Amino acid sequence: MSQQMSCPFQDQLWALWDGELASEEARGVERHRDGCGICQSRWSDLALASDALLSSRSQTVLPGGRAGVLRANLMDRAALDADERWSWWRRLLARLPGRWAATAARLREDPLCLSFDDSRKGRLEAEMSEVVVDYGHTARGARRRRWGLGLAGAVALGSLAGVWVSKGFQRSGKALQTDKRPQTSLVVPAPVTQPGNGMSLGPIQVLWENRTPRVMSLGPAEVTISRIRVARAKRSGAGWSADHPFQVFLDGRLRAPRGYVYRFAFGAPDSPVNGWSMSGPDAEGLGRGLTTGAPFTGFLLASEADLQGYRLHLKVAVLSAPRAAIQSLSLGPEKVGSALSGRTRGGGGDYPWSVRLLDLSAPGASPAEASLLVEEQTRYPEMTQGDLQGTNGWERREARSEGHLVRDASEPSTSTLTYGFRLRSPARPHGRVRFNATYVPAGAYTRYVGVLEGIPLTPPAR
Amino acid sequence: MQMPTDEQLTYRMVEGEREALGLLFDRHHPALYSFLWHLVGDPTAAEDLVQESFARLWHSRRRVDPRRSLRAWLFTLARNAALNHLKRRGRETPFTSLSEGELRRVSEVPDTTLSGSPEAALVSGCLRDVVRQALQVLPEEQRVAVLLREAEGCSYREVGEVLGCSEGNARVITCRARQALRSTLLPRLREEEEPCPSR
Repeated sequence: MSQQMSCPFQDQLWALWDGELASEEARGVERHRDGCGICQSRWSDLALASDALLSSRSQTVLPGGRAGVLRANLMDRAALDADERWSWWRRLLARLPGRWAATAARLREDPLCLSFDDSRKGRLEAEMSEVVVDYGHTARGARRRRWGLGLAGAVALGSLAGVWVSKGFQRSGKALQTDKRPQTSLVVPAPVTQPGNGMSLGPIQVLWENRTPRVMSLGPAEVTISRIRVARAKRSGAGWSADHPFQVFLDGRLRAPRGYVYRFAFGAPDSPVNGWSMSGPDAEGLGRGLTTGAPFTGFLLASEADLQGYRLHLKVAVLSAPRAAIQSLSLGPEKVGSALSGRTRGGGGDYPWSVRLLDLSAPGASPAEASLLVEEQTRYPEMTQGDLQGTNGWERREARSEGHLVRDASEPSTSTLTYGFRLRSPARPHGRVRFNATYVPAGAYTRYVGVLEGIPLTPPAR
Repeated sequence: MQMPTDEQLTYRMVEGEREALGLLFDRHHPALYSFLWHLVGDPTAAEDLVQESFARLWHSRRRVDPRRSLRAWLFTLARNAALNHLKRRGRETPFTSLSEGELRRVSEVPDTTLSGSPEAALVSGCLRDVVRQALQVLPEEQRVAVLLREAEGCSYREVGEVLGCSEGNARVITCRARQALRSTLLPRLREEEEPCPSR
């Protein structure tokens, strides 16, 4: 209620808070404040909020030691930048997220360095796969985006023209029925802000939820969905469309035998398994594996029809694939951004696999300066490695025979495929950056699908 | 010995002196880290973005005017870096389960920023979360404005420079942000006066 009340001294109160009043005027406003309930309440609210912000700020500090690491990395980057001879390298670094750039900077100085700081290795390996995915979108992706933008522009112009024509028809008495969408049957309540469900998703405004745990047995896996939340989809979010204005968040846990890679898919019962939770051409290539026993949060977009009667109809799929080892590499005349292909053996079968090749050459560098390095790391002491050097359009040369890349898949779960690149030029020492990713062969997934019908949704308890 | 001012350090940095950049980093990284943490909510990303912001400062040093507020320039770079990061993050995680790396980050992020007793850590962690959640509800401009003005003590002119608007507009945006915080932050703070539940 206090928010509804106002006081004519409000502006002066803000100015007093900001310390912008002359001393005499400030004393006058202070006198008013001390005698006015509204201003007192405002003032104490301001003080409380300000204290909270300041406390929060003082509690948010870099952990000890990290500042030094960041500073050293920054100095490395600055040193690189200062040396104009390394402009190609700087451009490359500009394409890498901060933490990798520093690693890359060190690698330039020590081109044969093959190991990262051990204390961070786990994280590096986990996160490098994201970089791999990023770099999968190379010039072709940019071109596609440009085409996409052009197309979107043309569609927008077409729509405008359509609206203009339709208005013209309406004015001339030949009205066109333009809106055939069904009427809204869901009453969307006022948003209730709930804490976020993890750092990646941020706060969401939950409209309805269901907290009854459901356990599904899907093949070798047991999926527990512990909480379902429905929120308004953010218009700025990827994949948003007016037909699917809701986001469904599913929190749960997967338990399944180790030695396999698992992925999830969620969707409406009549939608195909492929294409919802694993959008993108790399859906079955460089996968985002799910750790057995670890909690997950997945989400999908839903239409009003999917939530008819405040009930959610849901299809859940688990895709599992054995972690496989490379049996052989077969590299055709590769172009930047094309795919390697070959066959793998692991977990009791032969599967074709494909991996998108990365364009990591520095912008402006000629193909002769770039080459691809593929190596496989295992838990065994020996390391197998194939060195594929590119000259003039990624011509292939294997430094070691294919045989080195064949290994027994008796322990398939330990394999990590490493992709990297080498930039070379007669005038420059070699640099090397490694990218690690657990890979799953395309077509190797086995799909287990289950359907949950009519899960009741209720407004969240405040 | 007298500490060099920001202006002096900026002149030196513009001349290409790396050590000046290091000194500016030492001086401003705590504010930038806190600002970025409140914007992106991820300590690891905030670390990267701090480094990224200073790297961009170095790359764009020839465009820096040492007579103007370096702090505003830095916060502008940080804000842009954070916006890019959030956009990228939005693109990266559509329709997919969290990756192993993300899951690990979420579950294993140690709260190494805190010291003292576990209870103190818990309570202060709660306060940070409460503040961040309350800020998340605000439009991005208001969030930036109130953080800069209240937490970092920036002038309205600096806030305006960061937001790319006039000083008057910055004043209006900050005022709206404060009013919005009354309804988002204060009820939570009053709730939090109750003991924070263990997680």
